Amino acid sequence: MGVPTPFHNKTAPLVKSMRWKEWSGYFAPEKYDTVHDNEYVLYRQTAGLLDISPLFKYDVRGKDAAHFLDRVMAREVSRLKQGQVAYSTWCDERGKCIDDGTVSVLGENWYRVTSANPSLRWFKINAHGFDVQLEDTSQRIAALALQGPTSRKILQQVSSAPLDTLKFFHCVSDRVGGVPAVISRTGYTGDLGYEVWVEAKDAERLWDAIMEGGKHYGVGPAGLLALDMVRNEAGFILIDVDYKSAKHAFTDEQKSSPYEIGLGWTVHLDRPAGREYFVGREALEREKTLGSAWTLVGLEIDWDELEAAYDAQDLPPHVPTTAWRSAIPIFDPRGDRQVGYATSGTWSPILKKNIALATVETPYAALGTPLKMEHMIEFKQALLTARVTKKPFFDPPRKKSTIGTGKTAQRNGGSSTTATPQTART
Amino acid sequence: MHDVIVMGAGHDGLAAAATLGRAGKRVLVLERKNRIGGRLVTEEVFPGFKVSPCVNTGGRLRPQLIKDLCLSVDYIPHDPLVLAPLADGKHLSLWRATRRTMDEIARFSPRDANTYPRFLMFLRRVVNALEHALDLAPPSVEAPQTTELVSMARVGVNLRLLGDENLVRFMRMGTMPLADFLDEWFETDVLKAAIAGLALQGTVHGPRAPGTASLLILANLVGYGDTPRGGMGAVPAALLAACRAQGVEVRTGAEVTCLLFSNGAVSGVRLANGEEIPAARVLAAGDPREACLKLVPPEVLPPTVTLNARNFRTRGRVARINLALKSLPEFACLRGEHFQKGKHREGHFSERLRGRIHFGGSMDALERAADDAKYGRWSKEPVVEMTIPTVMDPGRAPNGQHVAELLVQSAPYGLREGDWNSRREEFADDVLGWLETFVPGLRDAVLHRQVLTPLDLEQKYGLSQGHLQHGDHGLEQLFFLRPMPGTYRYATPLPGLYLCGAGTHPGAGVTAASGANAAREVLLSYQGTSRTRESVKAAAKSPVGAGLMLFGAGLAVGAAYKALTRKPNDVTSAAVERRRSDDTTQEDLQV
Repeated sequence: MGVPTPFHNKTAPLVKSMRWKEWSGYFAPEKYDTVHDNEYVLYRQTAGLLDISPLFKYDVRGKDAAHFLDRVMAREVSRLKQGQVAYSTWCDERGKCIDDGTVSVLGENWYRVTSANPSLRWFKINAHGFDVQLEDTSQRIAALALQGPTSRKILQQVSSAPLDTLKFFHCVSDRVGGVPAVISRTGYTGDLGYEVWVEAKDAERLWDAIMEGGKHYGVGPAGLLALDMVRNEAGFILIDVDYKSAKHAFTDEQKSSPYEIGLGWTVHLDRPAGREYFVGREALEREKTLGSAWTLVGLEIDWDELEAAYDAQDLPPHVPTTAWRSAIPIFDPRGDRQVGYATSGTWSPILKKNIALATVETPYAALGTPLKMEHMIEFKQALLTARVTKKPFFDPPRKKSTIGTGKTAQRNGGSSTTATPQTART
Repeated sequence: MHDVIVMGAGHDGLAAAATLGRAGKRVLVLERKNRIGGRLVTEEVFPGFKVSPCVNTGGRLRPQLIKDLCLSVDYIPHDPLVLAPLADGKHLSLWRATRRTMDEIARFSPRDANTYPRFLMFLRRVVNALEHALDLAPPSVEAPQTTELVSMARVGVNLRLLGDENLVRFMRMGTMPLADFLDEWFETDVLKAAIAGLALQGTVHGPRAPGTASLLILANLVGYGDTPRGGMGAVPAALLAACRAQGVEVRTGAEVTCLLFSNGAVSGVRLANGEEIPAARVLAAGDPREACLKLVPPEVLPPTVTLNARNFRTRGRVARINLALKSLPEFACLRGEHFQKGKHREGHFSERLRGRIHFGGSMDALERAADDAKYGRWSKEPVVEMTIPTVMDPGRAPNGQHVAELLVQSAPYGLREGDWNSRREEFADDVLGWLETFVPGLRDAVLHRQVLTPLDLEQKYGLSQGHLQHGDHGLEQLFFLRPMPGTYRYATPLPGLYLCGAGTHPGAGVTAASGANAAREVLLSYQGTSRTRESVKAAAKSPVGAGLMLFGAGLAVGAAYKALTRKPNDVTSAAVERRRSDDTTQEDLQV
């Protein structure tokens, strides 16, 4: 059975649905209200407040901290400057992805890594011979994600941090509601949003401050069901749903490389002489040269065909009300041969589209390819066209814009290049 | 510029260096200490007394190595292999001559005496079947080469030829407790204990631990029961002479502190004095764990190597006590037989002392001693193996005086109470006190004693946790799993870094097989594809291998003949033929 997070006293009375989920051993609200539609609207129209304390957090300090992270991460962490956050994958020696998460530079020789799965042992094995101290701060650090168009305004009510100029995938240490906090402009919604990291003892004060500061800006608690919809819209994958961690896989076939799950951009092969090695390098280099067998794509399911298929059964068209996570076969355009599988998807209310994330054989991954996807309608199989579509499905300019320039933040080759923020996990 | 650097001038390192030198490579041996030999040394621990303080007995160097390098080591074979004195004054000797041993055993059990030759025959046949594996480089599990498979097949065929009954018996030994295995053969406890004592030397397990039966095979494979004249140091001395003859440079007092890498491959070594010596291949002959975890720069060390090196079981359980004796006290069990018949003079001792003397002669004693060690204390009734080399080799002590080398088998590396530095002498007192039961007057005869606890063995001889064989023997740490998964053909996942020594296949013993095998693998790495040629040559030497090759050659000739004599349009006609016959079959079926 789960344990309460540091915000439990605040969230529990609000969970009218009585629907909880187990997330890394913690109780996490699936939805607060009897339906989660309102929470979806919070994320996309005002601001949803999500307890992300169950994430695993590791603080890496010491003389060799950057060097150690360079070795373990697919990304060259030592390129980052203080105040930057980078999204990265890490792999086993065969270049298969173990996990993905963010690395924040909190100070000199001080980094914080977030991950979906417990990673301390892996980091410790890799830290052999390095002058680093690894601390599992998962329990000590509590965190809230405030995601949505009004999130910046809300935080400005309760913090004097320079949020107008805080760029996408950067972080700053300041106070929020009088509590010392790290504010990072990251999230799992693909929208304007922030994550606030505090000591667990300050958790309830943080919650109260944000709820109070946001009362005129439409803040509200939001849960995991709505989050699953918005992360699909943002095209963000989820470990052990859209790919299997190399640590959890039973067979080699179940493992994926970063290239195969659309995260090849987190792999930095071009590193300074003498610092080339990182775990999995050899295999990733080979895969980069030879090409990957699989590619993760976004799919948009053809609405007219869906409607016609329902009509054939004398039924009105139907879309699921929550995001789904079951593996669904994907066929080539002629519908003859299975060429992949969809792993999650949702009806996107804001886009009015039926979307999915799928892993397909690379020759079928070109944009616009009219693949076929299996659909069960009234216990009968239908093959509907699912066209390969650009990800993210939903990508508002406000995600990356800063107030100072009013423009999208410049790509700087560092953390925010094609950054796919991904922190909250369910 | 050197082709290969060998780290460690133990017998495996020197054997590898000499083998490489013989093949024309420029080889440099770097030894951390100011002397060569590693675990094999003869030291004058007390003036006039030549002691082998670390490893003191063992088998012989591989015959092929002796031949290739023209080595001369004068081995004194133990005969009997074991003398087991019992507290009640009885004793049992296992002689090299089977008939004579049978007579000894018959005093305890005529039935066991009759079984003994069959037991020996079984062991000998298993050893013969497996012996080829000693000279093999363990193949890669992931990508075994055809020639390796042929070599493995040769071992497999040999095992199959043991016959049904013996094969099954052999297979059971893999995971069986040694006690159970011996119970199936013998009823005499002291006989079982004498055999088990030889097999379990140095391991952490007692005879009732699963998997220990396989250690009996290993002990017989690598051999035991030989002491070189002049002490163990004679072995590395002979190998050093061979190195010199092959133009190998050997530097002592040269400690490697770091391996150098460029582009992910070994490029040389750095010494403690800062000197950097380039070489594209480095062969680490010492402790494999140290080589991986301390010498490889951490940033290039793959995490599975870190993990596997850490998990390599090396917990030692053996202490050594070396004694200088002013005279040889009489063994209680040999009263009246202490001297050779009719020769009551100094220097004519009972033949029974010309081998290992195994105190603690019961299976229970072996097991209990292991239990004590398991729980972090030394046994009050430890299992002790004593050799008195001066009985066979009087030159190792002043006239009339003696050296006794004790291997105490139940001294754990980690003590639950206190530490070895403060309890060293107390431990030695306990051991010698207990031996008084069997050898009254032993303590009074001691002129000097040297006590080497597992901690001392680690610090003085570079043995991780004091394990005499650099790592425990068990099925999961043998052959291609020694020292760890992912190392095979004596190579590591790090290009250019090779391992040899007791921590690699075949492990125990002083055969130098691993040095010779590793050198061969290093040489093959220069030649690329000629591994095939090498293995074909090796396979052709054995009757089975040659037979298989002839058979294969016959098939090939036959196929070639057919291909050459076939008419050009035969391919099509053959296809038509096949289709026709298929049709016929179908028609037949319909009918």
